[in-house]
Amino acid sequence: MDQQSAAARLRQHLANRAREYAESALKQDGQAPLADVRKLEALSRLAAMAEPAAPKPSHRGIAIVFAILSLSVVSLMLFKRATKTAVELEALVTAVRFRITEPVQSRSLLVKSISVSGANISDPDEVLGRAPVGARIEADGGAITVQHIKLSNATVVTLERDSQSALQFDINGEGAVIEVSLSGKLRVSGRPAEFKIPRSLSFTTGASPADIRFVFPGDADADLFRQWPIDSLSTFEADESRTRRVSSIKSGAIFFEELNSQERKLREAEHIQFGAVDGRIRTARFTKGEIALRFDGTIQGLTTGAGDPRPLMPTWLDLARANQPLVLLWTTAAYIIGVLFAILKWLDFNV
Amino acid sequence: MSAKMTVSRILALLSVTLPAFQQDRCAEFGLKRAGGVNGYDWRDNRCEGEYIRDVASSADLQLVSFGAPVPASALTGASPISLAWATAGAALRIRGESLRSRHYYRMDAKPGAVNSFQWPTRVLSQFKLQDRELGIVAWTGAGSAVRYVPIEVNGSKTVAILVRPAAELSEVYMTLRAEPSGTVVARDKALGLNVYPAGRGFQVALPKLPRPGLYRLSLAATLRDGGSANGVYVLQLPAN
Repeated sequence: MDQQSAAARLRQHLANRAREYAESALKQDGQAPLADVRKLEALSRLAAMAEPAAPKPSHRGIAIVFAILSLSVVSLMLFKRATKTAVELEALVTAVRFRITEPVQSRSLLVKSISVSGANISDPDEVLGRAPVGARIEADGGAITVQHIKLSNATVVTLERDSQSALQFDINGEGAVIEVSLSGKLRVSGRPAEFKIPRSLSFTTGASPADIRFVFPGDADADLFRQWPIDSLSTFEADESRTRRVSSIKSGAIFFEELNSQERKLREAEHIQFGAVDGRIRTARFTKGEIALRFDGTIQGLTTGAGDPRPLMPTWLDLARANQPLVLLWTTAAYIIGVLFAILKWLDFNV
Repeated sequence: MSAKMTVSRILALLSVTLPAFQQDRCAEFGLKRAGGVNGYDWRDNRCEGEYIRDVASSADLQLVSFGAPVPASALTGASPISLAWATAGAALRIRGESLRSRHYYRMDAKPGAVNSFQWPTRVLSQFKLQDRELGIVAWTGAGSAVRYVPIEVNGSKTVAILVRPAAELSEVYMTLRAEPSGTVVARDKALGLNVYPAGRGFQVALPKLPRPGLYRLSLAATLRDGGSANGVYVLQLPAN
């Protein structure tokens, strides 16, 4: 017999007795024996004592909601990544591709040889002879000066190391102009030529890509250009079989500006992939067979790894830790206190 | 809505859109607006002011003045410089530039289908430029179709040509051909100035012309530190 049914039976018994004594009292002109009344009082106390205790209100529901909310916030902070972040990239690469967003102009370059194909040639002094389809000029004691390379908006440029002193400078975009000045003893398309008075040549790109190959004298350290605004950046090149893309990174580092310039070193051949970028290549040099790049701007996406790319964009927790340490401290403290409170409630401790 | 509110809303809208509009007007001249009272910015009928130095090639020969030289007395701010040219063309562009070493000031204007332009010197007078420290060029067309037009300054029709090299030169050679015939007026004539400092304009003295008209001036320069540079300019030349 459980506690509830015993109490019910006692209440029933108490009610029956009370009715009996009441009827008896009515028959005796309202006189109730004192003994009966005491018996009823005792029975009533007993029935009350037999009543099961009322259940205490439970806090477990609140604890569960709090736990779910806490886990959600922690998950967001740990796993949700910034969609855009400011970075500075310093890298030595063997190839790089990017797209220009404003008209730009290169520095002047003193080269040992230049080969150009795929561009229209303006040769007022007939340096190359009649109706040339391309140009290959080598210094033979004289000088070849690339006065400038002018590129228009939306031109895609690929720079690729060809050898320790040779750089491939490919231009995919209409209206790019390469101005070249020639002086002294040279070899033009294999034939010797001498220009006591400097002569000029200019190349203008059309719809199809133009390939330019520069060979720099000795251990080249050429300042290629500065402050070119770009909206895409890729550090890949074709492998030797020309069938697979491989990373062109030799070394470098990415600095996350929003994480107090936190540095992320780049390994040789690390498969780094940038999302859309909005920034500038501050400097580009060709030095000892490598292209030294400095970029700063914002990127929308950054991953590492070839097969299963792993995101490198900062998490919300990283950003909060770097930018709002005080807020993060108080939030974490409140969170820990909340968790302890929920555990104690769960365990039915009175707090 | 009351008329007062409508006006205030329009003014608010203008205050938001006007700077962007002005920025676009200067962007077509290839320079970004600079801060400060004298920074490169849109002013009435032109973009004018000091700018942050553009990163330029070090082997270019830039035509910085073609027309009458500007005397320092014209740069006091008292009155505007009066510019004029022979032919009215809608696509004419005018550029004024400081020729003082390491001073980056420029004025760009597109006067429209007229043949004169008033250039207020309120900004220019701040820099206290001296004689021949201001170069002015005007041209039509773009890219390889650029044709330079001589500019008259305050009524003076003198034509002088100033070219500024970015690097020091050792010698400059001039070739002048009539256009479009190609008749050679001068070929590979050394200017013989001996000194051609980087960033300073040097004058190109033209030979006697057979007749006024269009000429192609080709300059070929050897650089003091090795290498060479060329510049080609198509000029509308008056009789000399």
